[in-house]
Amino acid sequence: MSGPHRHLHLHGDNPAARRAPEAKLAGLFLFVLLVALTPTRWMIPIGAEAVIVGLTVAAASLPWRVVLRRLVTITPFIAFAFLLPFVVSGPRMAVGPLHLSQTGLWNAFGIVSKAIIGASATIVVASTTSVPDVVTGLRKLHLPAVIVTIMSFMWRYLDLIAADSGRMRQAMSARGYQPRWLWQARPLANATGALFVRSYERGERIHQAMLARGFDGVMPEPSRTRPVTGTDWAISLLPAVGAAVALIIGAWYGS
Amino acid sequence: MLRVDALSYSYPGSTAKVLEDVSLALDAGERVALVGPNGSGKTTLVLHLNGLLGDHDGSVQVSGIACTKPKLKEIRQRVGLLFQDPNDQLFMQTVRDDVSFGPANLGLDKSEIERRVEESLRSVSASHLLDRAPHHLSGGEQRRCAIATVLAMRPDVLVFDEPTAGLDPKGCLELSDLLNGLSQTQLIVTHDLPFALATCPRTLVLQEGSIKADLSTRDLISDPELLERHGLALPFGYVAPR
Repeated sequence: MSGPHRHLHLHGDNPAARRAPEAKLAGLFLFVLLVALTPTRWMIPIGAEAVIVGLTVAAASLPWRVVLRRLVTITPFIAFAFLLPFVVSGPRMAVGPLHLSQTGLWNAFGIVSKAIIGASATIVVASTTSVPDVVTGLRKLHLPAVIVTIMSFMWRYLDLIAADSGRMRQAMSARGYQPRWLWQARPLANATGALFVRSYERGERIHQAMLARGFDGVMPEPSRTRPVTGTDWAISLLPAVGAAVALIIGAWYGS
Repeated sequence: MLRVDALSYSYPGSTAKVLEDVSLALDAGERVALVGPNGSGKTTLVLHLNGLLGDHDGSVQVSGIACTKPKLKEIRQRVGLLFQDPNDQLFMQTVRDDVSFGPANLGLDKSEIERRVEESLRSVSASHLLDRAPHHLSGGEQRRCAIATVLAMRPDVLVFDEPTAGLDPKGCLELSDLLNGLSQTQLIVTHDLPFALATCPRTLVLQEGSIKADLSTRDLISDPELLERHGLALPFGYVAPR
């Protein structure tokens, strides 16, 4: 399978994959929230959060190579962070031949460390939870039903829309369209419009297919869901509890 | 079992009639093909059988129940409609969720839903696809699962809109065997006349929004003049069996 459905969820049996999705998602949300709230200069909590995420990756038996490859998605944030020491005002310090802003360096450190820790935690959950399970989990966490349904449909049809778009691009190239300049973008804009109309029409057909099977505006509950256990909650919330303890210790020592 | 009387319909905002005075009747257990050139109104007719299009003249009845707004839920349970593109029919994350979508909308309890899901997937030989994602299935597998989604509603009438679209010849043969093995009344819209012959003893010809012929499939495909007159053609090189 090509496109966005490829590889996000890695099949395998490990302590993370066995947990109920709603517990994992709640645990992830709390952990990332605590990481985001950690003051940038508190080195003990940030170090502890990095260790916790490392242990979670190990517990989920995820190859480090996979985690590092997926972390590439946060490169734009990291690139932005590297600009900060040059552009932020305030006292400056010499780093080799460069005079960099101290505040900018701390800000850059905060963005890079938190982005890596938060993204790694998300990668653990995404790699150990299938998309249907994520949808079920979000529904069980009482996220608004409309939003969950939209997310689920978006995921289901992303590949088809991407394939549609790919075929249009091929058809344009096959007739010699090779845009190089901005003023050659018009056919591309037309194709985007056509793609929108096609997707809209598909949406109408899907709605008809839903009505034909008795849909009355409320999505039915998922047919089979496993019950969440105390162990699920205990294990899934462990990283967030660890981060909370690290934050308290950090506050205690004023680090 | 399925009865349409003097059905006429124009799409909103248009005065052109897509269907004009269409009448047909299918007996219980009958398999009937509906053929006609592109744009003849086949899909529009199919959507009416499930009450999916609005105001129209004439009437549609299923098992003696008129297709009117208060009865829509019952009509949609009794008429299983299979759309042309299985990707429109399979919209959930797993085959299990897709097949259980209809029964869940009927308000059935969980054990009954599970029973129907297993039963309908078994009847299309797709039990092994239960927990697969629809977008990971082949065209033939998608078609089988789409049929299971309508069978799970336990309909009296099955309506298929071009079920062979996108299937390879082997897939068409398997589909024909599958449909021949189902006991429900079936109306099958198709362009594939050999498939119609293998599946349906009787054929209705729809052209320019009206039923132009109602005859045995064998008689239709062995009459080149009739085919020509109604804008139909056999596949290149195909010789109609005598």
